[in-house]
Amino acid sequence: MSVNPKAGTGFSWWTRSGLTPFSLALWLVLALIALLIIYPLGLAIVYEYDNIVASFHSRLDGPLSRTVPTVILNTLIVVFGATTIALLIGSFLAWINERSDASLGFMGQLLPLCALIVPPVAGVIGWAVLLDPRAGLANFALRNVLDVFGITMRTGPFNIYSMWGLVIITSLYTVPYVFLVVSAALQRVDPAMEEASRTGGAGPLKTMMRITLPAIRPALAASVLLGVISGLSLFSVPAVLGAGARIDVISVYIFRLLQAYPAQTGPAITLSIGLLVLVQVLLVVQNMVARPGRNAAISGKGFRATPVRLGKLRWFAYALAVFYLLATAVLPILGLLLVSLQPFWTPAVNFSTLTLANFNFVLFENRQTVSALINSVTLGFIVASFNMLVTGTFALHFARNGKARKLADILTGLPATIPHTVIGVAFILAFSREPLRIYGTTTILLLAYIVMTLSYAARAAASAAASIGGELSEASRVAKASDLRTLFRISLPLAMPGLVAGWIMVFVHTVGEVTASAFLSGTHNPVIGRVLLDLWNFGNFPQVAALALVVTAISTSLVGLMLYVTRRSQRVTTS
Amino acid sequence: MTAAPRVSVRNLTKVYRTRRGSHVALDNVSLDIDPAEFVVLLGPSGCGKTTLLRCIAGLEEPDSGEILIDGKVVFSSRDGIYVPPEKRNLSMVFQSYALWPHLSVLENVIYPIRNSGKSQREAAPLAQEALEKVGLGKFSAAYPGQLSGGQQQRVALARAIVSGDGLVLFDEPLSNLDAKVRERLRLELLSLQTQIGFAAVYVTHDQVEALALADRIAVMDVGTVAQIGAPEQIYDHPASRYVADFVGSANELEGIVLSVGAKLLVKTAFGEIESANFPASMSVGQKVAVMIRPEHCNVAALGESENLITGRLTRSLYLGAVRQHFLETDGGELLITTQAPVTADSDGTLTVTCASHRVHVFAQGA
Repeated sequence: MSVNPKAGTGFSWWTRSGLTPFSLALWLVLALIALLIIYPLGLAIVYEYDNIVASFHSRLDGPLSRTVPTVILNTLIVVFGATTIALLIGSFLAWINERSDASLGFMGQLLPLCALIVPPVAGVIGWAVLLDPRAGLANFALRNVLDVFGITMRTGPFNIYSMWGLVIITSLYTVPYVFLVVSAALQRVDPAMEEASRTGGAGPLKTMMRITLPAIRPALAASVLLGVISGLSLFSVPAVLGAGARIDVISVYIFRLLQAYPAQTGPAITLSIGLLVLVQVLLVVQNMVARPGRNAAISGKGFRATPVRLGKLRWFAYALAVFYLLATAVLPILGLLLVSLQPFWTPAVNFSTLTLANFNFVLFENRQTVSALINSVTLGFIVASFNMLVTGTFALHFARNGKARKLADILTGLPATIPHTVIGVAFILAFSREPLRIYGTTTILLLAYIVMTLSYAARAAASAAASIGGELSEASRVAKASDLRTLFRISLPLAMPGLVAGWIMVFVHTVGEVTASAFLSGTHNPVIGRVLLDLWNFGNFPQVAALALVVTAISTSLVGLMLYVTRRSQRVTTS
Repeated sequence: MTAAPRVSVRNLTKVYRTRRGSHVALDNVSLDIDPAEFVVLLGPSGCGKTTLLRCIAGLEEPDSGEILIDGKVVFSSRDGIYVPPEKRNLSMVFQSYALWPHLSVLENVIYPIRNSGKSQREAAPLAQEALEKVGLGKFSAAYPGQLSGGQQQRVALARAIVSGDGLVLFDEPLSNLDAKVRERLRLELLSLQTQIGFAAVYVTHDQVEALALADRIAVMDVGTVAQIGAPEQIYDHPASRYVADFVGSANELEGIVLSVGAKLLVKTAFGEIESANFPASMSVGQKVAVMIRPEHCNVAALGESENLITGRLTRSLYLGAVRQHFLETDGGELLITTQAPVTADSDGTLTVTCASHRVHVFAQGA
């Protein structure tokens, strides 16, 4: 083909620039997605420019001047409180799992997936039905126990609609971030460093304090920042608990500004931009802290550390892990189950009146919930397939093109840095007017979901591609296979388990999504997240519980499938 | 050297640019490999040997120069030609074996034949035959994950020879294997190569492997070929201190040339040493490096007078096949190896001799 130098020139230009028609199409798709991120934000700012300026002027004397500082203060308390608790629990669990003889095994695998197995919105509703001061099932049981000891109460003892409730429930969903980051850091620290300290005469505790913790300090700082960022964007917890507690945090406050009549778009977009800027600053800081961690003593040998013996403390460690799993998954589901089987929510469960009517109503009778379920599942299917197709093809096709990969990484990583609240606001403002008037349609939800889950998809695709190893595809090229054939015969089959796992993750996130759903969904385009919030606010508690359980069931079974697929593929490649 | 070379590498340069600066991996390298010739690229890590191999394969693109395979230009910076690996008609064996874990052993071997346009019915017997050749005929239905490292590398070998390419590239294929398996596979590889007659380019950092396998060895030093030649030539007539030092072990000492003639007389810390193995351009008073291989030193018999060195025998090590002895002389330590045990004289000293044609002299800095 290239023996003739003249013919070779054209060929060479294509391969050298990496621009085949195929990759050109890929870049085009990615550019469109990038446009989908930038266009709404840019347009929202341009259209609302006057309102933004106005809301800055009214900052000091307008009607918002009293509420906004309180909202910001509340947000800070919730976010930092939750992050502190999550840091303690998450890093302790990570240390136990990586370094002690109380290795958590399967529980350790489940832990970071908790927020996927039980969507946060279902979890928080579950906790609300348990710890509602009056009708909470757990509260009622506790009151009965206390009554035996002569302590009689009409409400409580716990009140989930409080700052404490907000902080603790938010922290439950921040723990996985800390756990993952700290675990990864611990895996990278060469155990020989700790063994040297032990043989040098320091005990396990001293070794942890003087050697292990300082070695992973950057990771700890990074996980704090990650926790703060995720806490700032978390919407479902304050949306469910905040109303009863009369505590507004920024994400819910922005939502209410837009729901008010007339909608206060100026302040909403102004606060959104503030939120966006804050998150960007935090991300820059996080990158700065995390960088030295990457170079910290990486051991290529992969020896398992000699586990620290915990003795009797081991049971405490197990108990903590079990307690965490109970708190995020088991207890709220039990609460939901009990409420969903009752005709109406009462703390005194009458087992003779239990009924499946609520499930029947939610799954078959109520037009709103039925179409919400259909919409959410359909959207989840399309979004997951589209995103995995795009990011998977990209990761595999550009596996050996460093520059292209870096550019794609930046583009696909972008949505992860934008709080969902901001995406919701920007989409509302940009797409409810010409030229793209799609507010109130399922298309707007589709676009928003594609943007929001793109980063998850890209990360899953990248790790699937990375697990293949360069030499396997190089061997295929040397064996005279064209790029496309290498992709379909070698790379794709090998990456499939990782891509399937990514697909499931995106699907589950989409089906359980609440934030953008609250902003963008309505009576014409209902989705599960929005309908759950509506039913909750209207007080249809048994139906909420039933619907939340349906979503949880979908998520749990898919995540189970994901675990099965990834475990089986590990067995094939390492047997 | 009568037939046209199978591979011609001409003035190849490859520079890696990183954030911290650039690193010259190949610096104007030229090399010809004849059909059916076994050429080993030998050098320490970072010398550019793997980069050169990957450039020939088409997995890396050089910055400048030319590569011809069977007379066809597959890379030319001047003419803007870059032929991708799948169109170069060569095979490659990787250090990590690079077997595809989701394909059976037979499917792994069939893959390259199918890619060159043959039907499944034509390909399967060829693949089976290749597997028989490497002694794995019974394992065709197995998956790579079920085989040992040595068996996996045999499959990789079968995959490389199956399409009958005239050129097979090897990237440290034996370095992940146990010593015993390595030696066996080395022999099998050699007999396959003579039987089939492909040209082999073989990258390794193991000098024993290089000496055993190569028709010619190219010793590489930071991006350049320091010397290329038959194993004996490399070993007995190293072109530079670097080559002498990297291939085999050597006693090195500094010296000053005393006289130049048919033999060179050099003043060293070990005394005056005669060498018959020196570069042409030597002048009296020049500073030089003198190199003597340990196995070229023998215990001096009575009446021998050539290059006698006397030292106190401080330690003898038994290494199985050979013995190592350390002599402490006034000018420093001398290492010698012998087959038979040696005994020191009554005063604890030993006198050894080294033939002058075994003494290598290099200009200082060469």
